[in-house]
Amino acid sequence: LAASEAGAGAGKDCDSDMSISSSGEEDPASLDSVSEELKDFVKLQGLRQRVMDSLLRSDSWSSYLCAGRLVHVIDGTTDWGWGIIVSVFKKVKHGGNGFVGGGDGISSSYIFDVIVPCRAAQGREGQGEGEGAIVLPLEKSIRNIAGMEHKPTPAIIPVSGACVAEISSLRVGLPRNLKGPDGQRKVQMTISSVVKKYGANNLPLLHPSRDMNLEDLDECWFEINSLKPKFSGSARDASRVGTAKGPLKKVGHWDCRGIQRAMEIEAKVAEIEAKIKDSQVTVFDREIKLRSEVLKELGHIDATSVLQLKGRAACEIDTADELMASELMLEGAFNTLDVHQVVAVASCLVPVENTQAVVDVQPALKEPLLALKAAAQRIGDVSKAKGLEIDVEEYVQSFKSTLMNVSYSWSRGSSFSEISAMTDLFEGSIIRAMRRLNELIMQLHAASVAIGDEKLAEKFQKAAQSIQRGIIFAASLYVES
Amino acid sequence: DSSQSFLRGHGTRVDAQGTLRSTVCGSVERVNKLVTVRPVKARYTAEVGDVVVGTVREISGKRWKVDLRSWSDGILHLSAVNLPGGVQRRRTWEDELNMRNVFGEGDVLCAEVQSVHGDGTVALHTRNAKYGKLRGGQLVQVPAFLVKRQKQNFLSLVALDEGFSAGSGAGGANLGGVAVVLGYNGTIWVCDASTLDLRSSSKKFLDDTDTDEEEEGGGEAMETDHGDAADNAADAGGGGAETAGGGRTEDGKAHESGSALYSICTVANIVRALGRLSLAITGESITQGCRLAQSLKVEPHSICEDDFLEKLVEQEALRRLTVG
Repeated sequence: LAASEAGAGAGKDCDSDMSISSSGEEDPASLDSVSEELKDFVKLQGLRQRVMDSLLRSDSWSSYLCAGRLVHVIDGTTDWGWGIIVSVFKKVKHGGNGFVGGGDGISSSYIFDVIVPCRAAQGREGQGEGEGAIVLPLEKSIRNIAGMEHKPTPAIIPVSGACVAEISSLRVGLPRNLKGPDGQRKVQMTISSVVKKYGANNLPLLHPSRDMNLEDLDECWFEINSLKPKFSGSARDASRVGTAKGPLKKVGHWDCRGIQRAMEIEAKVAEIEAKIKDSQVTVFDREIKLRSEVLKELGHIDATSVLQLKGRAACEIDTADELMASELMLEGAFNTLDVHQVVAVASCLVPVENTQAVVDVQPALKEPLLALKAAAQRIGDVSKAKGLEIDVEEYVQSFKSTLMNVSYSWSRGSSFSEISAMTDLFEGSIIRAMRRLNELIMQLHAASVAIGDEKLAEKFQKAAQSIQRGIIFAASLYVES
Repeated sequence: DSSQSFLRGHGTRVDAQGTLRSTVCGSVERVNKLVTVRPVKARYTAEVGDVVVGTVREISGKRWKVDLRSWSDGILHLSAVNLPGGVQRRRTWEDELNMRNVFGEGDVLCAEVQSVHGDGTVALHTRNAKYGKLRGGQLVQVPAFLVKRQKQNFLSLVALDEGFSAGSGAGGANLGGVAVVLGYNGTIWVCDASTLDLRSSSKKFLDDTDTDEEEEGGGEAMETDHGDAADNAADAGGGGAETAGGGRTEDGKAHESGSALYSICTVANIVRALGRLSLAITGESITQGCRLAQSLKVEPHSICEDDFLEKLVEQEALRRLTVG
């Protein structure tokens, strides 16, 4: 049974191992050089992308992503700020065009023309918005090092759906002529007044389920909102997303996607590793190693796992906890006890039901009981030290003294009615326990023969004989034998 | 020390005055409160789980009596062996009459101690592929206390160009490799690694009686070869010639060559030498002895001579100095 389980478990493990190695191979970028903040930001963008994807998949996206809608554009870690959608078109996926990455999500196949306040590249002030004009994102601080103000110039830039981070619930009317200075000024004023009114990070956004009728995105939205405050950025930042610690490294869009993919793979690897860890075979292997260590520590086997004399003695016992029994025996706990006390101490190792009454053992038995608890404590500590998941208190408490008085009296010759009056255990339980106790004492006898101590062996023999009488050991209740 | 606080183990007793005294000459071992005295040199006493190598002394009444060089013979019951053909069934009178076909008188077999009774009777069993009749090799007898309890009894030594290196596990199926079966009772079997393999695989197909007979013939030729001490040094060389005869009949394989027999003889004589010097016999000690013999270019028949024995002792002394 164990072998077949091991086989099945090993089969699963093989699959898990293989999938880990293949995931490892897929991951080109190493995540070691990426800061925690960047990872969080990539995660945030990933979540926003999910919302966007699900919006674009729905039928009514065009009513939200329409001309005049205010959107927040973030490309990689570069924050372009808020802009207004002018038009939208769906890019046809060309076969040979390396632009659209496979598996990149539906958002990247949509291109939005967004008019965003930018600044012209240095040295090209006033070159105009013809084709090929280079624009740069507007710096949040309007003063540069030289102390000159940068005039924000709105320009229409094509933005992939993947770079649309947030969609505001605000919609403004666009002037007809966007290229003329009038139109531009109007747009600029609108955007700056809106941003000023609400604050750049606080524009009212479209809620996925309430406003856009998208299902199952509430958790996603909650996470977005909890991550967003981290990136409110510093005031004097140069158009880069930043945390309270400072701006993030300048990372392009595709690199961000790469990081996102790497994070996903990492998460997958961690999941598979957790699965392997919990699989039965590995748990079994681990436990075997730990238990062998415990046995080595206690002296049952030596460092090369060869069975020792103590281990041979422990092998003789199977009706009770072998470690306890052999520890007690070899610590000499039974040496100073008389026959009846031996019976009483051995009765603590026999499993018995819980009783309500608190047992007050006889004075002759108090010390042996302490010795027993000390031995249990020792074994519990060794087990815990080696790494086994064991509650030492519970282990020590599991050796109950319920039967001590009962078996002591029975061994000394009391009648059954007397001993059943001593405890609130059922009579049947008492009898079962005493029979089991008899078996245990005979095994202790065999163990002491293995050790070679004849005196001890004789003592156990006498102890077994002292309880083998009366109704408890009657072969039949109906016939006198 | 009050004798009350100690547990008296094997080899000790409390005398009339109450002091704990040892009854045998040996080393004292203490485990917790237990005091045992382990005798230095004694006959082998069987423990449950020991792997032993012995020869069948007699067959009677559904059991084989196996000579273990111990206080009493080991008893191998008919129900404790794997019948040929691998069937599992009740043993009938036919099986009893055919006992000689499984193990005959004089056969060397490898078994495990199943139980030791109160009166000292040792019950054996061979219910495992690695146990059973041993053939195609040499029997070496050494004092039992030199073979200590260890993890691996079935060793496979691989002959390399530079020297020997030991691996563990039964049968490496290496050309020229030597397999050693260490019996805790002091009887050691040295044979070709492939025959050990062959034997374990042939456990399933023991119906081909032809190979059995040939191997038995070869095996018996081996039997006459066993003995200890250096007097057999010359015999070992002669024994090598004998094994050549037996080896050719049993080894259907093409690789059979003098080198395999050479290796077997070397290893067997190294084991004899270790026995004579009272050094512990383990995989490492055998390998180191073989390496030494190879490096000094000592022929197998001169291994048990005094000069080589001296060198072996020197090597061991050096090893103990560096380790200790």
